[in-house]
Amino acid sequence: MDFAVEVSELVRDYGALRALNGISFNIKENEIFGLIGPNASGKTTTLRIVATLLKPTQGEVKVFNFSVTKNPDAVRKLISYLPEDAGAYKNLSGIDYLRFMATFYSANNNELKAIVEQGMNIADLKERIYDKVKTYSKGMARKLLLARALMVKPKLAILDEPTSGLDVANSLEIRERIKTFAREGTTVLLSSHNMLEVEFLSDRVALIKNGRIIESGTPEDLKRKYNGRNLEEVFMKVEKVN
Amino acid sequence: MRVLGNLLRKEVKELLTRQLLIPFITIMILFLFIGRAIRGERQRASAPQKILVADFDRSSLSQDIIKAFRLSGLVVIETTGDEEQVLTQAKKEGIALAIVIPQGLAQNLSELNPAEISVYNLIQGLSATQALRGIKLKTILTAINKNITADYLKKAYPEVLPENLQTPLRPKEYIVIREKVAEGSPELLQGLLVSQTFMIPIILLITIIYTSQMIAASIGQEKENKTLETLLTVPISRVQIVLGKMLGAVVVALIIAGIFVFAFSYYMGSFGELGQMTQAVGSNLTKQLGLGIRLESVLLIALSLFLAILSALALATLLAIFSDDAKSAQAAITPLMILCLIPYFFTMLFDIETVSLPIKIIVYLIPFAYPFLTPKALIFGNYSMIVFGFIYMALFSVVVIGIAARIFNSDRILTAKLRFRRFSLLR
Repeated sequence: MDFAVEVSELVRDYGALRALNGISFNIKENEIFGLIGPNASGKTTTLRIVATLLKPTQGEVKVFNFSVTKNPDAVRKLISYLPEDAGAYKNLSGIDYLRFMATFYSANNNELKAIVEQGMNIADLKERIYDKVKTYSKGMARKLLLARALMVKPKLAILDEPTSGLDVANSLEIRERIKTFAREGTTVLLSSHNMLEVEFLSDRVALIKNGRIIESGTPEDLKRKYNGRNLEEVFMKVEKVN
Repeated sequence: MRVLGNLLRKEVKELLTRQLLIPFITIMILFLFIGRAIRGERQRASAPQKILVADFDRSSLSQDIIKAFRLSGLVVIETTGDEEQVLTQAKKEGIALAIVIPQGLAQNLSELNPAEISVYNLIQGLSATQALRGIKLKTILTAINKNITADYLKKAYPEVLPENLQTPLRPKEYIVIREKVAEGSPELLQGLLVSQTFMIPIILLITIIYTSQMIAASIGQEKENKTLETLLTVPISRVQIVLGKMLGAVVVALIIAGIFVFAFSYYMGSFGELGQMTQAVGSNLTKQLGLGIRLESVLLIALSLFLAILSALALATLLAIFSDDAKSAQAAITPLMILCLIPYFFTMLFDIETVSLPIKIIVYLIPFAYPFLTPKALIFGNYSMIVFGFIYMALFSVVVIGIAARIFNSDRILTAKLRFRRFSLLR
């Protein structure tokens, strides 16, 4: 079976510190896969390696059969990455930012227009899309960035803490947009320390701690296996076992 | 090209902000304002000037002196009364200069005794106008003195030209540069060359400092806002990202340098006629010596400036990579500023040919030193130094850009600094 993402025996060291210690998982096409775990567990490092930003110390990552280390340019054409707490260019307007990013994914003006239009629909910022990014609230900026990540219809969207720091209303809106978009044929790899969010969004999850995956499966299977009402309870029980 | 154009447009939009432009426009307005004020002062100083004269001698000589004042463009108002009354009148009428010619002036001079005339400068402020007025009067009085002496000499030695006795020894100075010889003094030549090239270090200094700061701030901000992370995952070459940043900084710096040069030239132009006179005499001198501004010289200096700016940008990019936000990026480029200031002050105070070998090597190792050295090298035909400078700056830029591009191509762009300090943030 071909996977959208294949991660095998992934190790990443920062000097003497081992951030990832032999992580392996696969993601099926059109699946939403969630990495959950506490802060500093290795989620962001994993996502950065899949997004071609960091190189693994050991192990291999393939995205749609392209190796992130041997063929990063091919991988970059298939992915879209949303970093945690990322910003946009403050002196550009929202529309200018979308146009700037869309240029890299379009071959001509018609394609560019179509991508920007898609971005405007996802961001749904109405007239504020013409204002400078520096005037946006955190929620508005996050919607713009999510739109930027999804408007190019990537085969794999890598979303790091997509709702981090947002209020309930904005978080709900963003979750809905991710879910809707995934149904249209994008594979999603997301990370969060908000386990309820991951439970809501993900088809399958991997629980990560100290650079190791300590459990994985569908949220339903995990809840059943550990007799938990939600993934938070599951995580606590898994942590005790490990 | 489409990708590079897109990156360049974004960089310029991000860099050319109101916060950046306001200080420059303020400086420009300040220079224009000062320049205008100086021009106004000069106009006031060169306007017909009133002078109050009290002639107690009433001789033909004293009348000749007054006539000479008039012929020199002074508006003479004759008055009577003692010195105190003369000063009171001058104050009342706002006249800045009052002259009292004492009784017995002609008599004294005819007996070959010196005679004093009193010149009262009524200070109304320590402005340039006041100083210029005083200088003008002194020039007139020197000319009158010379005429009186000439008259004496003519009477005593009717067969000899008075100027032959006044300046019997007349040094004729020549300047020899390479094979060419021309009449003139080294001070004049020095002044002229400085006036022709003084803008080069200023343009270079401003451009280098601002381009470096901008590119460093830009990289720092991209890291801080994580926009760089996003940019590094899009399907474009990382060399294009580096070049886009550098070109953006160059465009904005050139706009700023242009604004500055315009305002500064206007300011310098306000010093006027004296400079223009020196320029006229000097341009003849430089023509004879083959030092006039030629197209090839301008092109060589421009190329030197361009390569120096490129070297600075490459170095600033490399230094900024090791920072994790805009503030630390600005701090990271401090060594570059120092490297730029060393040749600036060095060329003001020393000559590269006369300093010791270790200092010479240090200066030659600084890539930004060459535009400072190029004008002088052109004068003395030291083309080997110019060519060496070009090769060195080009190589320096290529090597540093190569290193920067390699770092951009690796994950060190994200971890270079963090590796030493904050491991946990990466996880």
